Amino acid sequence: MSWSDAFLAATRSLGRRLGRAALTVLAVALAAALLSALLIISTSARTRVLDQLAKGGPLAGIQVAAAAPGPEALDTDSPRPGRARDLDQAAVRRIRRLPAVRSVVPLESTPILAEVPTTDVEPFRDTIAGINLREIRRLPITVIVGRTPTPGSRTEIAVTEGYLRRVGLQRSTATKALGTEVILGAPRIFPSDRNRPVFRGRWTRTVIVGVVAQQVLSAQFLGSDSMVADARAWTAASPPSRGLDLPTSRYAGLFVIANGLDQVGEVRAAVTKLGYSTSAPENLIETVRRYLRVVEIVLAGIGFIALAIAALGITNALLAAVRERRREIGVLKAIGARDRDVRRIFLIEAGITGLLGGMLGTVSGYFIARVLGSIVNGYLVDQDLPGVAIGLPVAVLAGGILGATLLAVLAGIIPAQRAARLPARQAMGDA
Amino acid sequence: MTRRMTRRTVVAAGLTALLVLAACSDGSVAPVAERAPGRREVYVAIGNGETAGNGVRNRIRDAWPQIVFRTDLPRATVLTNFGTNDASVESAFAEQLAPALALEPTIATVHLTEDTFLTRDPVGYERNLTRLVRQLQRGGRTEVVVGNLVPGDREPGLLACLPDPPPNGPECRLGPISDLNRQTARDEEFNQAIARVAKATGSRLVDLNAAFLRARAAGTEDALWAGNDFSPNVKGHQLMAREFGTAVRAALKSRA
Repeated sequence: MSWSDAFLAATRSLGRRLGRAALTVLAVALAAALLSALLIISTSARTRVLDQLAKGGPLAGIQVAAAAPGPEALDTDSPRPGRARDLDQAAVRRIRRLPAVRSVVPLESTPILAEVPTTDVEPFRDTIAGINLREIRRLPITVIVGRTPTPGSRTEIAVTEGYLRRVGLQRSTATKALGTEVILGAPRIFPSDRNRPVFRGRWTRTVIVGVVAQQVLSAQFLGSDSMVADARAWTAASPPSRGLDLPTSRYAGLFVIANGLDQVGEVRAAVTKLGYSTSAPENLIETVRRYLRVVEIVLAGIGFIALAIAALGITNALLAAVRERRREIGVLKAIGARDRDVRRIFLIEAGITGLLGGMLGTVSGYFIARVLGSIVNGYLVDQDLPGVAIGLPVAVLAGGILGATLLAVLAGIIPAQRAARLPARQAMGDA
Repeated sequence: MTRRMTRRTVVAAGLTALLVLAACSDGSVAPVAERAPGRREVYVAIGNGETAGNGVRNRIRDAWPQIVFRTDLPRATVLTNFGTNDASVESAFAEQLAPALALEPTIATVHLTEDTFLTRDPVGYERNLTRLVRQLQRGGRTEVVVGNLVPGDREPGLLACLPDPPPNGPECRLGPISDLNRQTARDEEFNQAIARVAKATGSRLVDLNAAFLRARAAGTEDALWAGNDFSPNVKGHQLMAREFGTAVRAALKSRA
C-alpha cells in the first residue's frame, strides 16, 4: 500500500466518523490554542520587555543628570544628585565612548511662558523639553493620542497630561487638545538704562500634535531639539540675573542605553566615575525579571498539561476507532495489507487530526492573545507605562502546528501498533 | 463522499491560511513623512507703550503686535516685541534697534508716538525716524511698516488736562493743556513727518489716524479707549492690529 493510498484511507475513515473526528480535532485545537496563546503572550512580553532590557531597550536606560553624583551614588536606583554640573558636548562624547554604551540621547530644556489663545487660561510659566525626535523610540515615552512632533519641526509640540488638566481637559478628552495652538515665549533679560531690567519674549506659534503619558525633565511641553535649542540660546544670552532661572548646562540630562541589562550597573559606575549623577531602575527590573521567569514556567506548564490531555484524547479516540474497525482491519489484511500499512493509516489519521487541530488552535490562540493583549495594553497605558504589542512569532506558529501534529502522531503510535498487530482471522471473527 | 471531503478540506485549508495571513499582517500606521522646514519669517515690533500692550490686561494675547503675529503671519514666524513704555524715537534707536537687527528680521513694524509729548520736535523726530527705518530695512531685506498717531483729542487722559475737563474723568498727569486744537495740530505735524518718512524710505504707512476717525464717524471711537486713560483697550488694539495686519500681509505679498 502506497503513502497516497494510506492517506486516502485515513481521510475516508475520518470522514466516516466525522463527529468523533471533529471533537478530537477540537480537543487538540483547544489545547494548542491555550498553549500558543500563553506562548504568544509570554514571547511578546519577553520580546518587548525582557529583550529590550537585555539588549538595550528604553527600559534599560540610565538617566544622567546635569549634576555631580551625590553621596549615595550607586547604592539606590534613584540617588539624590549632588551639586549642579554642566553636561556639554564633550561629556556626551566621553559617555558615548564608554564600553557597553549602546546610545546616548541628549535631553535639553528651557523655561518658557505659554499662552493658549483658545482658552481662558492665563499665560503660565513652564518648561519645554527637547530631544532629537528621531531617537524618541529609545525613550520610555507613550503617546496617548496623536503622534510625536516631526523631527526638526519648530512648530509642532506634544503635551503631557499636566497640560491637559491646566486647560480643563482629561485623558478621555485629550483629542480636543490636538490641533490647538500654544504660543510659547522664551524669556530674555535685556540691560536697560531704566531702573529695572527689560524682559523680552521670543514668541513662536506651536501646534499640539500629540499627548504623551510621561513628563520629560518635568516639562509639560515636548518639542524638537532644534526648537528648544533656539529658545534656549535666546534665554541664555541674558546677563546673569536673579530674576530668571537660566539653564547653565547645555543639556539638562542624558538618556544612556546600555548594551544589555547586565551592563547597566557597569555603565552607571563608569558614568558616575566621570562625575555625573545617574539613576536607573536596575534593581527593580531584575526583580521583575525573576518574577516573569516564574510566570513563564507556570504558563508553559499549564499549556503542556493541556496538550497532554489532548494527546490522551487522541489516543483514546484512536483506540476506540481500532475497536470499532476490527472488521475493516481484518478485510484489509485479508486482501493483502501488511502490518505496516495498517499502522501507517492510523498514524496518518492521527497526524491529520493533529495538523488540523494545531492550525485551528494556533490561529485561535493568536486571537485570544490579541484580545488579552489589548486589555493588558489598556491597563498599561492607564498606568503611564509603554504598551506591549502582540505579534505572531513564526516560531510559535510553526511550533504550534508541527508540535500538535507530532504529538498527535506520538499519541497515535499505541493505537496504530495495536491495529497493526491484530491478526486478520481474529479481526474478521470478532466482527 | 471522497470528493466532498476533499473540497471541504481545501476550503478549510484556504480559510485557515487566510486567517493566518490576516493574523500575521502588520496593522501599524505608516510613519508620517518629515516635512521640510519652509522659509521662516522673523517679525520685530519697535515701539512704545502701545506696542508693548499698554491698555490691555493680557499683553501676550491682546497687544496688537501679538494679534498680527497670530493672524497675519505664517505659523513658523518668530516674534520679538521690543515695545517699551515712554520710548521716544531716539531711545528706540538706542535701545531697540540693535537687538532687533541682531535677529535679522524679515518684517518689522514701527509705531513710535511719544515724541509728541516727550520731545515735541517733529523735525528731529522725522530725521531720527528716517535713520531708524533705513537701518531696520537692512538694504531691503526687511519689510518695514510704519504706523502713525491715532487722534489724541478723545484720549481720556488728554481731555483731563484741559481747562474744562469732562466730569468723572481721570486725573491730569500730563500737565495743563491750554489748547486742544494746538495739540491736534502738533499731532498732525508728526503724522505728516511719518508720511514723509514712509515715502522717503519706501516703507508702508499704516494710517491709524484715519482708522480711528472712521470709528469716530461710526460713533464707536469712545469704545476703543482703555481705562488707563492714554491707550487703546482690547478693541482699540484689535483695530490697530487689523490696520497693521493688512499692511504686513501686503508687504509680504509684494515681496513674494
